[in-house]
Amino acid sequence: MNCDRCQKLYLLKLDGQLSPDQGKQVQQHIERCPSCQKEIRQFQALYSELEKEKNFSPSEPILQKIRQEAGQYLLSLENKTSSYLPRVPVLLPRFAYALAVMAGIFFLISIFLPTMERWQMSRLKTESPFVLPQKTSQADFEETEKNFRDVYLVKVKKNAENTFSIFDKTVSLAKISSEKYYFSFTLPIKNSQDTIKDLESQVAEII
Amino acid sequence: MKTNEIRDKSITDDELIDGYLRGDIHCFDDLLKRYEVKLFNYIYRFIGQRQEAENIFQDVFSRVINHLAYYRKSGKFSAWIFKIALNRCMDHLRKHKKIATLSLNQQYSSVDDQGCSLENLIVSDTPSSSTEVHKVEIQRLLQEEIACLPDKQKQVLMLRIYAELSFKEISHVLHCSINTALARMQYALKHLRARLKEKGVVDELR
Repeated sequence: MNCDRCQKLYLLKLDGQLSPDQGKQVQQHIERCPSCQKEIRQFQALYSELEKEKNFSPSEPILQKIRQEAGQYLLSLENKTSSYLPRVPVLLPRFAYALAVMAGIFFLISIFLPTMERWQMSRLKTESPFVLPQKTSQADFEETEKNFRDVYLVKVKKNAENTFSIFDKTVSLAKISSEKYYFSFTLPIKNSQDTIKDLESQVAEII
Repeated sequence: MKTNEIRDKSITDDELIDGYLRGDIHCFDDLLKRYEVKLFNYIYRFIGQRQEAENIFQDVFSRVINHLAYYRKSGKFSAWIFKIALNRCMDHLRKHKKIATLSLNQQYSSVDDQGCSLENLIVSDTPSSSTEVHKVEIQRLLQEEIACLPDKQKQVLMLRIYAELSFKEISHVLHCSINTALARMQYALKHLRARLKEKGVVDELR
């Protein structure tokens, strides 16, 4: 331990904040070091001199004013809590609350957006001449064609924005973003002998 | 009375604040009692004028009362209140642009004596007569030298001696490490001692 460190630790020792182990080290250093002994004697002398004059008190009228203010604040607090909502203690900086509100709004949007889309789709369904315009993959298309005789899936090609051709007929549909879709229509099929031409005419009729 | 004192010490500042905010004014009285002397001495030593010190003292408590709802109960109330006091004192000193030092030819107004000026004191303070330097005069010199210390050293010394904060609490008030606070105190003490030695008062302190 060097002298500088020893003197700093001695100041901490005066605070009573030194561990017994450190206290012992400081003591050992002081016993061996005459310059630290001198320095510390001076510290002690200054400390005791400084400690002497510190018994000034504020005057009683000032203390009385402070007590009054404390009482008034308490009253205002009671009035507030009785007429308004209880005071919310400030636990976090204000921007944290702002962030939380924004996060809440985003959360609500993320929940309601799909719901709104579904609602729009259902509106489409009722307005559209088709029973079930529904996005399906090529595999689904083949699967459905095999299993259900009464469900026909018709290949639709995108012509331009929002326009699709089904058997050379042009129909308008709601906004669809992808290039190519397969839509399934449920059509009344009389029997298995029906040809694609019959189907074509039925679709044309519906459109 | 004794039981009261014992009870007071076992209750933390945060508990007293809780009690006060729940409507118990006695908790505030206890808190005021706990800090009135330390806080006032601290401010008085900074400012040097009783009237101004009382105004600032009242202002500090007023701020404390109105901001208690924002105080996070972290067991560092003493650091908080002395931080407020420190800021107010520094504001005051900046505004008035004069430190609480006494110019050489100005008479000490606060002391009830025969109008002895610092000049006379130093002139008479030759090594041969140093033992005659009155205790009160040593105090005066000391206070003057404290006022002349660099701000950072003065702040640590004030917080340690007059506010009676530990170095750990001082480090919270000044936002520095304990080691830095210790170093500043060490410099302040050495500085004071050297200045007093120049004026031939050091022998008195031994």
